[in-house]
Amino acid sequence: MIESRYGEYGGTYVPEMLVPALQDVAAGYEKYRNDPGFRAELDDYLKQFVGRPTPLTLSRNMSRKYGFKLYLKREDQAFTGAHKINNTIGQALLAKRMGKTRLIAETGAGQHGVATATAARALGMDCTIFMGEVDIERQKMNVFRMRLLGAEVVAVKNGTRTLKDAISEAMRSWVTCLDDTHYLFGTAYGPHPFPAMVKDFQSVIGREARAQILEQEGDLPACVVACVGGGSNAIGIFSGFLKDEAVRLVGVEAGGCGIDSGKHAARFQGGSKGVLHGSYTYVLQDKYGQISDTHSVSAGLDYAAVGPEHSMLRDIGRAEYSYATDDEALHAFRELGMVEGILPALESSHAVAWAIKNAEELKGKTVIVNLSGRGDKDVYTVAKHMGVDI
Amino acid sequence: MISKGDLKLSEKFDRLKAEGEGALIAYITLGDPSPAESLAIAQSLIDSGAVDVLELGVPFSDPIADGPVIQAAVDRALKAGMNTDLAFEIAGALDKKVPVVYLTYYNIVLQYGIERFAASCSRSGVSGLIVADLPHEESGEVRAACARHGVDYINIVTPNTSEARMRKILDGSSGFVYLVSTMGVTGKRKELSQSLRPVLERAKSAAMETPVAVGFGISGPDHVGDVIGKGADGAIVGSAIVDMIAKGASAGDIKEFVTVLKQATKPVTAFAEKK
Repeated sequence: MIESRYGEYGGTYVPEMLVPALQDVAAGYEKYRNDPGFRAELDDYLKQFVGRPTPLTLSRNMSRKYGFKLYLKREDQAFTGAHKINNTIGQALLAKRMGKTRLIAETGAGQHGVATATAARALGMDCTIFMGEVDIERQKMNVFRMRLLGAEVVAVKNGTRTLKDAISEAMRSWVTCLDDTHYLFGTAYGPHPFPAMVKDFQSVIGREARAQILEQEGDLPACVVACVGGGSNAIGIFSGFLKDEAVRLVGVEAGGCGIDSGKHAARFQGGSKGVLHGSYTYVLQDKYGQISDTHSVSAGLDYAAVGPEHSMLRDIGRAEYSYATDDEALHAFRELGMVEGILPALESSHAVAWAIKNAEELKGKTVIVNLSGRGDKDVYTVAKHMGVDI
Repeated sequence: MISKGDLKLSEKFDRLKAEGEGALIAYITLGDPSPAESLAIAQSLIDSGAVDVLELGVPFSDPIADGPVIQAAVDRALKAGMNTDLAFEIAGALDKKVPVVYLTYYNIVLQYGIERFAASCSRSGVSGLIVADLPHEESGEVRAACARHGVDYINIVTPNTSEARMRKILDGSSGFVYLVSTMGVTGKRKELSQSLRPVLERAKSAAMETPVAVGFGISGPDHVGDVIGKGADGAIVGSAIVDMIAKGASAGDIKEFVTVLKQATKPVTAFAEKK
């Protein structure tokens, strides 16, 4: 059996109607996760379709400028431009083996929506994506990409009209079509078995990164850094180094306009323990348990709760969690472009920003930043912040 | 004169059963459109004499089991300053002639404190508690706290709950069982599910002595008559009433509506005579 708890965190806090559905998903995952045929098929898709392994690039110019050896794990080079595809291919293959013909998913930045739509097309499945109206507005290009891939995009108009409401709406929709539809959850969050399953499918990042750094550097890194929204890219790369206790693991949350402003998505800064969307973890909420509105310049980090395993890793001190503000992330976005020729996703820019900010402390050390996605989708947002009309 | 027994769910259902009637369970969201107005609406529902059990929603910002009508009510309530403290104030202030139950989501109970929530239910005369996103496997602490404070923990079962699972969930249940009529979220529907009868039979068998009330999609007297006719012990009407509140219906209009609903819980002969 796959564990449904990470210390006190995690669990299955969902309406009864979803319980049999989640039990089915858990049973299917349990059945196939170590099945050699399934793993071979997944590996083949990851290699031939996604383009894995992704490189571990030594960022020469940044290393020279900042005085520490910066490696970038290039998930931006995975097909569709972010790590999300590792999980969507995995779950879609699983869903197909379970006899499902349709995928539904939530999306914030649109990356998970695009990756789900892509997996659906590749495997001949139907696809519906739920996306908050606010996110649709700030990620127009990804919305059109999903439609070009034959996906139906449903605009979610209730609540804060962002990722949180897209998840609620996808859950509400799923219960009406359980027979033929798999809910392809996008991050290492939500009710059991999603945190465990998504971590499994994202752990390829950590496995590759560990082997690559040993090959290229002959040694483990001092530090591994990743941005944390729900936390799937972070748990994916961390998983490769969890047992290497000398390796410092740093998760970087969205500091938005600053913690004091209240306009942020840094759950470990202003949050407390609670339940949202099926999981017990750190949540941004008021004293009565009403979920707070969050803010981040990056839609993919703009969520009120953090993956339950991250809460445990923080409690036991195996990983530490910091944050970068919108301004710091925007600066890092431009810096990596200007210095190294790589435009990172605004989400990943938070991890880059942390490394830049802590350059003094990292001096002479080897650091891996997980570059979870590419920045093409964000050029409009960045232009707007620069006051440029494109 | 109201005795304490009148506020006990089991006694209420027993009495209705003896009279050959089903229970009309009416739902509103506390705080909608404002805390004070929802207190007045709740009181007028009790005073109507038509409502057998009053179900009060304690709002949570992200109600994943609810459809658009109740989501909107929750948004209005939270904007109007509704919170858990006020919910207990309202429950305490009501002149309760019928049992009152709460429906909420787990994070609301958790943040208030599980023990404190159950104790406050007891103190303010709330007879039962329904937690929409707390499945059996996660509900141990809340069930135990409710039992300690004499509050009925009301279990939810759905059309996709297997027979074996229903037995497990409903073992030792109290108050009533909330049977969800159809796969989906709360909200008015034109027609009820064709497969309600076998699901209801399964639930009644698993519930043993505990009454079974049917909710989700029950919008008018035809639906109420239908579910009671199929053997349900009660019918839960929520979104239809919340929708009237949203549209600014008067207390008189709402009272008239629940009176018509109540008639449909009575045996056909009595219904015909009143006509």
